[in-house]
Amino acid sequence: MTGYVLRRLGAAVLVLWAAFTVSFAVLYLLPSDPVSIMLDGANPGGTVDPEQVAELSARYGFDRPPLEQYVVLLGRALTGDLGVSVTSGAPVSQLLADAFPQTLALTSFALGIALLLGGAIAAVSSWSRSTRLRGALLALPPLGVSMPTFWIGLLLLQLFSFRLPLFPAVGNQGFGSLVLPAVTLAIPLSAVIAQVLARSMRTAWDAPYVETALAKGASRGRVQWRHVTRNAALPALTLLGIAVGNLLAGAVVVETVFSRAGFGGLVEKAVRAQDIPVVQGVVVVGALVFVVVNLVVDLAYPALDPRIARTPATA
Amino acid sequence: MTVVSQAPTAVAAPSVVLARPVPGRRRRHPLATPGVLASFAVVLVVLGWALVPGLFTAADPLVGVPADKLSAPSAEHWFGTDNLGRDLYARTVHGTSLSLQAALLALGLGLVVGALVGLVAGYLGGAVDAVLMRTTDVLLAIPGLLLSLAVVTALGFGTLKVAIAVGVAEVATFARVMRSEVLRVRTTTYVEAAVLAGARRPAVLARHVLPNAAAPILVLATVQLGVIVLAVSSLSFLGFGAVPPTPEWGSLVAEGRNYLSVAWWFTTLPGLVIAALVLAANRLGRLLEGRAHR
Amino acid sequence: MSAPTTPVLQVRDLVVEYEVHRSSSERVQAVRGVSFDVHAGEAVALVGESGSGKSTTAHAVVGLLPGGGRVVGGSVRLHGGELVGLGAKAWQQVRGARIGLVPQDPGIALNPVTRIGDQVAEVLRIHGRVRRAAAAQQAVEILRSVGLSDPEARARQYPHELSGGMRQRVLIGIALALEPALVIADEPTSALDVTVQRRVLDLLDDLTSRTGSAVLFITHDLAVAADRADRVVVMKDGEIVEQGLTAQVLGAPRHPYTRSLLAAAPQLSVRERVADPAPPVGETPLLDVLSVSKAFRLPGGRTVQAVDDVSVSIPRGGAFGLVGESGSGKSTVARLVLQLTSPDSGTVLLDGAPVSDAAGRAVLRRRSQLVHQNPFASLDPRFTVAKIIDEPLRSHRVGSRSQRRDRVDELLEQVALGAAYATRRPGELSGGQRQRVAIARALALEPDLLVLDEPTSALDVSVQAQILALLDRLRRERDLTYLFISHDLAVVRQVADRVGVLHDGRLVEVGPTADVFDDPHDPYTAELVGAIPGHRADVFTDTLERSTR
Repeated sequence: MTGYVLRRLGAAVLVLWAAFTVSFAVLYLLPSDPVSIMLDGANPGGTVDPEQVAELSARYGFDRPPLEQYVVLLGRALTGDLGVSVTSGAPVSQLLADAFPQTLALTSFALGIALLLGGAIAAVSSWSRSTRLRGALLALPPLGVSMPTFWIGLLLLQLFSFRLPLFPAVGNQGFGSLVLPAVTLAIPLSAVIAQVLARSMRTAWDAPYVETALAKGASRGRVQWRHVTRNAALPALTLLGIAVGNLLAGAVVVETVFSRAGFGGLVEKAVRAQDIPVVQGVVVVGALVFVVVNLVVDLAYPALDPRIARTPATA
Repeated sequence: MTVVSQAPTAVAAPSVVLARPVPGRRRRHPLATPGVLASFAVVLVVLGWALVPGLFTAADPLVGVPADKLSAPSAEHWFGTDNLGRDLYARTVHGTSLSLQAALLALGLGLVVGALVGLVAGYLGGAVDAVLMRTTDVLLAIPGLLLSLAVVTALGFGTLKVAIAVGVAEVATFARVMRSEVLRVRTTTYVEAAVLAGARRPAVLARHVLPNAAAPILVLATVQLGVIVLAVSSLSFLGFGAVPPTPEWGSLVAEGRNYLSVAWWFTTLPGLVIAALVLAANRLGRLLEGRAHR
Repeated sequence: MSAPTTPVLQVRDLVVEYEVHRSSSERVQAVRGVSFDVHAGEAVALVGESGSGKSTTAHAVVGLLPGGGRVVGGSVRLHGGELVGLGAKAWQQVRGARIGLVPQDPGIALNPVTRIGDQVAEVLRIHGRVRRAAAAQQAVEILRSVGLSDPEARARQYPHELSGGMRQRVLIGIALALEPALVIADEPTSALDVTVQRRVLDLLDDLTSRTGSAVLFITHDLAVAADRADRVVVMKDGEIVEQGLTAQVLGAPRHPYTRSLLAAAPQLSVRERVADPAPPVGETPLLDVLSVSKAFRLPGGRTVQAVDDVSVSIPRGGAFGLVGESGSGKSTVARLVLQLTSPDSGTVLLDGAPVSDAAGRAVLRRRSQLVHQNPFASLDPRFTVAKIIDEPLRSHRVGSRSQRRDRVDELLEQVALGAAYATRRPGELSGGQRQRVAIARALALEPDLLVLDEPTSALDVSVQAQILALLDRLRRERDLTYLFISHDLAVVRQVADRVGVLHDGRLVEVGPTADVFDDPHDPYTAELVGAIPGHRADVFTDTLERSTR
C-alpha cells in the first residue's frame, strides 16, 4: 500500500513539474518577444525605450539562454517564489494567495450544487420506469452543456438581480453574492455529471447482478440505492479531477461576468496586460488543483473499490 | 458413418438462420426525428450566415441609426438594436463567419495534430508512446481554458490567435482518443488474422487500423465542435478576440453586459444563437456516435 | 409419473412481446402460446437454441423481462395463484421467497463491490423476519451448506476473490436460501468448465431434493437436460415443438427439429468413431512440437507457467485434438505453433524444418493458417467477404486480380456459401456464415496445416454440427492436417483421431481418441471424461439411431 501511495505521489509531482515546463515553453519560448509584450501590455501604445528593454530583460533574465532562465525559474518556483507581477510589482504567490479563498468558496459551492443536481437527475432518470419523466430529465443535460457559461450568468443576472432583485449583481459581499455565480458555474458541470452518471447507471441497471438482486425480491429503490449507485459512481469518480479543473477555468469567465474578485479576475487582468509571471502562476496552480484532486481520488479509490484494493499489483 | 453427415447439408445453412426482427433494433429512419431535423436546420442556417451573410440581412452590421438605439426586437430589427442603434441580427449574421472560421480552424488544428500524435504513439508504441502520452497527460492536467489563456498571452490578441489557442488545448483530447483507437484496432482478432494472412505492417495500418479508427475520431470531432465553439466565444467574450467594431459572437454578448437592465435582447439573442448551434452540433454528434457503435 | 392436483408452476398460452424500438409501436413476439407444467419435486428442462424464447419464458415466469418486454397473453400460476399482472410490491414477495433464480454467468451476477456474506444476507433481510446480525450468521450457514470451505472467511470476501464455481455456489445458496417452491436455473453452468459444471449441477440436484423445490432448467445443452431433467420441453422460434418425459423426448423424438437437435449434439450423437488409418510409419510428421515451454509474467512480478514441456506430433492428414479447461494453456500452444508468440524453450518443426527463423516463418505463414474462436471478432467489419478472403492472396501476391476474384468465388463454393456472398459484409452474416468465411480465408493459400482454436464454441449446436461436418469434408477432400483446440471433449471426440489432454500447461495424456476416452490412464483425464454430460442419454441413443434410420 505504501508503494502505491508513493508511486501516485511521485506521478503527481512529475505532472506538476511538467505543467510548469509546458507553461514556461508556451509563455517564454513561443516566437514572440516577452519583454516587448510586457512593456506593451503595461503601457499600451507607448514608445519602447531601449534602456527600459535592457533593464527589464536583465531583471527577468531574458538576456540569458532559455535553459538557464528555465533552471532559475524552476529553482525559484520550488521555494514557492513564482516571480513578480509586471503590472503591480507584487509577488505572484501573494496575489494568488489573496485571490484563492474567494475562488475556493465559489468553486466548492458550485461543485456541491453540481454534484447534487447532476446526481439527482441521473438517479431519478435511471430509477424511474416512467418513460416520460425519464425523457424529460435526460433532455436537460444536453441543454446544460450547450449554453455558454457567460450567457447563463447574464441570463441569471437579468432574471434574479434586475427583474426580481433577489441577489446582488456584482461583488463579493456575503453569501447572497455567491449564489448566482455558483449556480452559473454549476449548471454546465451538473449537466456533464448527469450525462456521465446516467450512462453508467443505465449500464449498471443492465448488469446481471441487478437481476440477481431483483430476483431476491429487492425493490427498484433498494436496487438503485444499494447496488446501482455505488457501482456507477466509481468510474465517474475518476472524472472529478477534470471537473474541478474545468470549474477553475469556468471561474475565470464567471468572476468576470459578476465582477467578483478572485482567481478568475486575476488571470483575466493578467492576460489583458500580458503579465506573464501571473499567467504562469495561475496555470501552475490550475495544474496543482487537478493533480491534488486526482491524487485524492486515486488514494481513495482502493478504499471504495475492493477489486483495486486487493489486487496483488498494489501489494 | 457418423451421425454428423446426417446433419442438414451445408448448402441449406443460410436459410435456417433465424431472420426474425431482433428487439431493440431501430426501424424508424434515424434522421427523421424532430430533434435531428431541427439540428440540421440550425447548422444549415448558420452555414448560410457564414457563407453569404448578405442573403440573410440587408442591414449594415457596422453603422447604426443612433435614433433607433436600444430598441426591442421587432419586425424591422429581429434581434433589436444595440446602444449605437446597430441592427443586432445583422451583427450576429455578419459575426458568424469569423466565429465559425475560428472554431473550424481550432478544430482542424486539434484534429490533425492530435490524430497524428495519437497515431504515431499508438502505432510505434514503446518509448515514443510513453513520451507522447505523458505530454498529453500534462496538457490534460492544465484546464483547457487556462492553457488557451496562456497561449493568448504569449501570442497576443485576435481571432486567429484565439483559434490557435483553443486548438492547442484540443490536441491532447484527440491524441488520446486516436491512440486508444489505434491500440484497440491493433489488438483485434481481425488484425491478427490479417497478420497471419501475411499482410505487412503498412498494409495492416492502411487497410485495417486507419479505416476502423477514423470513425470514432470523426464522431469526436462533431462532439468537440460544440466545446470549441463555446471556448472560442468565451475568449471572445473576455475581449481577446476581434477588435471592435468587428462583430463576433462572444464579443457581441459582452457588448450588451452594460445594458442588462434595459435591453434584455442585447445579450440574450446572440447568446441564444451560440447555444442553438452547440446544441445542434451535439445532437448530430450523438447521432453519428450511435451509428458508429452499431 | 403421478398426476398431482395443483402443479407448482402452470404456464398456459403464454405470449411475450418486445418493442422493436422504444419510439415505435412495432412489436415482435418472442414467445407465442407456450404451455407447460412443473410439478412438485420435479426438474423440467426448457431446451432450445439462441432465439428460441426459452430464456424469455423463464424471465416472464419470474417477472423480470428486460425493458420493452411484456406478457400480453396467457397465464403463469404458482401453486394456483396468478402471477401475470401482479403489482410491484406483490412481485417482491414472490421473488426470492417463492421463486429462486440461479443466473447464467456467475462471473458477473454478483455485485462486485459488496461482500459475499452481505449479498447472501440481503435475501434474508428483504423477506423480513431476521435482524442484521442473525442474517449474517445465517448467511454463513448458507455458504457452508453449498459446500464452501471456511464460510466465515468467504462471507467477508468480495466476488472477484472467488472462482467461477464458488460464485455459482453462492448464487445457488441465495436462490435456495428461503426454500422456494420453484427454482429457475438459467443456463447455470454454461460459463463454467466441464468438471466444475458437473459438481455445481450435483449440488443443485442435492439441495433442491433436500428443500423439495421444483426446478425449471433453461439450457441449450441437450446432454445436460438428459442428465438432470425428469421432463424436457423443446422450444423453437418462440413455440414449444415437443414436450414429455426425458426418455421419451430424447429416446423417441417425434418432431423433426428435436431430431435434428439431437443429431447435432456431439455428446449424444457419436458413440463410436472409426479411427483414421494410421499414417505410414517412419514418415516425417507435418507438425512436430518438441518440448516447448512458455511462461508469462503477471502484474506484480509473479510468473505463470502457461505451457510446460509440451510435445505434440501430427502426421500429414492427421487431426489432433488438444483438450483442456480454461487456463490449461491450450490457446498458448496454438500461438506457439503459429509463432504468434515465441517459446522460452523447445522448438516447432514444420515438415522437419524449424519455424522460428525468418525463412521458416515465411514458410509457416504460407503453409499454416488459423481459424479463430470468435467469428464475430476475426473479420474486419468494414471489409466485404470477397476482400476478407482475398487478403491472404493479395498479401502473398498470388495471381492477377481477376484470377484472385475467381479463386475467391471458388473458395466460397467450397465452404458452401456461394459466390453471391462475395459482396456482403460480416455484419450481415450469421455466426455460422462468418465462420465459413473465416475458413475460406484460411484455405485461400492452400495450407497444409489448419490450427482451429475453438472454432465452434461461439455457435449454436446445429450450426456447430454443420461447421464440424464442413471441416471433416474439407480435411478428406484436401488432405489437410488439423490441430483442433477445444474445451469440449465431445466435439474433440468427433473430429480428432488423436487427443492430447492439457492440464495446467502440462500434457497429461496423449493417445488415439478412442483409447483416451474409453480407458483414460491419467486421473485428471478420467475426471474430465466422467464430467461430460449426457451419460444418462446412452440409454436413449440406441432408440435414436433406430428412429433416424
